[in-house]
Amino acid sequence: MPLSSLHFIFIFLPLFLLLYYVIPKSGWRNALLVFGSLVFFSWSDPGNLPVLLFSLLFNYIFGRVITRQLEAKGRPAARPYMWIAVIVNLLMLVFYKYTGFLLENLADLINQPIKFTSRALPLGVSFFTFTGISYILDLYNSTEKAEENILRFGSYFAMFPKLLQGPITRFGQVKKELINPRPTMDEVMDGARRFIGGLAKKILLADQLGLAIDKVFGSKVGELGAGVAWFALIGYALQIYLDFSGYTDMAIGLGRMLGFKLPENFNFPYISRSVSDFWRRWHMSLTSWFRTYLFIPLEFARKKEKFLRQQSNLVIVFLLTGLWHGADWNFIIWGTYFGVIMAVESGKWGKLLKKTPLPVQHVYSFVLVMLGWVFFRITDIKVWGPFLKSLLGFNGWTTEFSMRYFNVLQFLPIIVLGVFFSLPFANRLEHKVNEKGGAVRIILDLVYLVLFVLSIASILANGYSAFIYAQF
Amino acid sequence: MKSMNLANRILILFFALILAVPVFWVARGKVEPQRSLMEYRVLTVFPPLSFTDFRMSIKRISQRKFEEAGQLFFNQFRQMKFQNIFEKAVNEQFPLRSQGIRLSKNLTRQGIRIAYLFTDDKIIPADNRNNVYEDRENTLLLPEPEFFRNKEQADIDVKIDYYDTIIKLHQNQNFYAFYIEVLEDSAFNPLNQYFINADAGRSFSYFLEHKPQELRVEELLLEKYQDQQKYFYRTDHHWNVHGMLLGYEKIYNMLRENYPDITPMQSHDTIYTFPDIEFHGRWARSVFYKIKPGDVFEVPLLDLPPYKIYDIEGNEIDYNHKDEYLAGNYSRAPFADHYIEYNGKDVDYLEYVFENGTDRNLLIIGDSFTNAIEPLLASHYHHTYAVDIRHYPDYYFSLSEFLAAHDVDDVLVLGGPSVVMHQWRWTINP
Repeated sequence: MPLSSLHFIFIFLPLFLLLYYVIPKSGWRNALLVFGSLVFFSWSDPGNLPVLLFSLLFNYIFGRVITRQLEAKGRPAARPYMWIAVIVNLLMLVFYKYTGFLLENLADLINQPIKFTSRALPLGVSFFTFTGISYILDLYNSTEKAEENILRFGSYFAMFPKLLQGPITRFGQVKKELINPRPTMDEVMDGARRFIGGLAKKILLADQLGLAIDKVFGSKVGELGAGVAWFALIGYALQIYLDFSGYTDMAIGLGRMLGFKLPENFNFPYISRSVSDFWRRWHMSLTSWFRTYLFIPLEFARKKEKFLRQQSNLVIVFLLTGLWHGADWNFIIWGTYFGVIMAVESGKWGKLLKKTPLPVQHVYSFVLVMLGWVFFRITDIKVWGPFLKSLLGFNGWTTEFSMRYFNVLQFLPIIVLGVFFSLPFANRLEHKVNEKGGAVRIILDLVYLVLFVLSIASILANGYSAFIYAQF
Repeated sequence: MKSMNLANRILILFFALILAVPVFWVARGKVEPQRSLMEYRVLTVFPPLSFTDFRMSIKRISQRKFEEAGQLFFNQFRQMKFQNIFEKAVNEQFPLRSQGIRLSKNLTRQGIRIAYLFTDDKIIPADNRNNVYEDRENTLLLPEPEFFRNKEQADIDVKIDYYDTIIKLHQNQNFYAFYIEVLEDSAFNPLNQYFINADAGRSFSYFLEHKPQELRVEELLLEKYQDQQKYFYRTDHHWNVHGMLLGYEKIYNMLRENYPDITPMQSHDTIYTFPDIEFHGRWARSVFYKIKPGDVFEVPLLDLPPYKIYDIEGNEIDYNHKDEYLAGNYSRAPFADHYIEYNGKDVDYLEYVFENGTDRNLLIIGDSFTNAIEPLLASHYHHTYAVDIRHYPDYYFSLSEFLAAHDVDDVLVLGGPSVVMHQWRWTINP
């Protein structure tokens, strides 16, 4: 059930919140949260409900086994269970997400067709399997103890705001709140503000931009003028940020309404000063996951190696980050591209970059990130070259596929607003308003209400588009 | 929830809003499917759920008859049928839906106007989703140009081949085509300059150059941009009464060439204007834009001899709403499609029977343009068969089969570029 759909906002959410706030006991609230999350999931993907249930129960049981083994016999006894749990989680992801890709490439390699019936990717599988792995590894590393109450564990694992697109939440980040999820009125209202802000970002900006961007990328991108090509690329960079950060705002807002503080996922990535900085600000929960559960263990495991250890680890981690996004070569290359840049930045180049003037750092980061979005957006690798030529002006500033042909000028106000909300201005304003309070707060809350009404009007007029990250 | 400060009270309205909508649906109860004149379709209602079916399916499960249980109740969820209808209904039964849509479209339009504020462009998009533009100088809406490329040329070639075969196969009939040039295909579409491959009248020139000689073609062409306003609505793609009557004259003269004893042209000098109709046609409807002023809605007052209309089953029908309109009974809803409501909606087949002393019969293959002109043309024939191939199953229409079953003297293909030149859904199978 997409968070920006009318049936979520006007049926699921009010009914769920009403019951949630009325129920006095925390155990029942957890039960409702689990039940509601399963309904939320199965509404859009009933066929894959068993997959989610299996994953939930599997991680719950193995979590308990691992903690018991750790307490009774220590890490060596828990290790096989940890490996089984991690491998089963990964196998589930590989089976659903990568089988087709692997077989397709194998068929190409052996030059023989391989019959394969593709299965629909369970919604959120990349997110809930990573949640499961983080839970198992945190238990194994004794960072956390297994949750014995299955309702609390179910609430953590399947919590509907974060189930389909994250933020990928570690157990320790919400375990206290799971004991008695009860928000204050301030938290509920903060949550509502965050939810509305995210909805407006998604519906009023990202979806509108998507109309123009899809039209341009759906055309012959090798025949574009540089003007349209750059418009499309910058527009896409804004669209994907507003779309995904919009979802995250909605998820965090819903979490607040339910009494949970979900981790942040974005910190204005387009103001980054380097690619490494960008990845500290973009999809932070995923970057943090890879750092904690892959990069640090890799560094530890290869600590005796001196030559390019950190650099090669960075490339491996980002190759897998790319692969996590999708079973396609463009994602693998996209991830590797960032891995290589970060490897370079981890050396002398990074130090040198820090000494350059601030605008140079921003431009450097912006250009490389934009180039990355080319690999991300265009799945057909053969088209990259022609599109890059368009970007570099090989076809001139404009061609027969003109600005007017795509009607891109009409999206200029959206671009301007998109840039504004991609920079920290609005956030600073909100902080100032919170400090001042009183009448200014009331005015800003009225603005939120207007944004909510406008978003709903836009959904009524145009329907809603799926969140970009829902496909991953 | 522990405390509540003053500022928070404003946002209580958010929760009140999201709760008010389901309360509204529950309080309103069950509604019957309603036709939206604005969108010209029946709006989806919430799908019913039977508790009895649920109970019975649970019983079947306890009897281990899983398949039956699924068929009774659960399959509709598993196959997403219930969810899909439900989600559509949530949108289409939403309180104040049309006001919401209009608000959103107006906001988008204002955004577009701001974006074009610094250009001297007088023709700007009227919406960001539909290819409809607004001519701010002439207060009219207009469509984007169609293209004329190799693809379109090949399509026309196929249609020409069909004409060729048809004419050779059916030599007892006279074949005519009447082409209505619409702005999309016209050389006078002011947007042509932005679209390198714009048709700009080229497809019709190509068609004329390559058509079979035996196919007699007449046309209503735009000779300048202003002709669009003269012969067509400013908010709708159809011809207005002036375009239609000019078309009638041209077609009449064309038919007369092989039909010397055709009855005199119908007198069509009296035109009635509906005083309280401000017509906002398909373009306006698609962008929810009530351009000011809307179109005047005019109809010819004709004194036709008595006639009957039959449907494809041979049943006599009351096809259009002309009498109701002239009696003052018509919808006042915004964006009501008065052209279709007055002239009759598109159907697969109609048969007009006039008792006017002639035994000559006409077959018209056309589209919604023909709805307005059919009675006028039919008044010169005994039987007139009006066929709209779009509404035939799989768009399949066999001329041979039709001519074997009906005595037809003249075959007239009448309509816009799609009907006359392209094969798309109007393929006249020989």
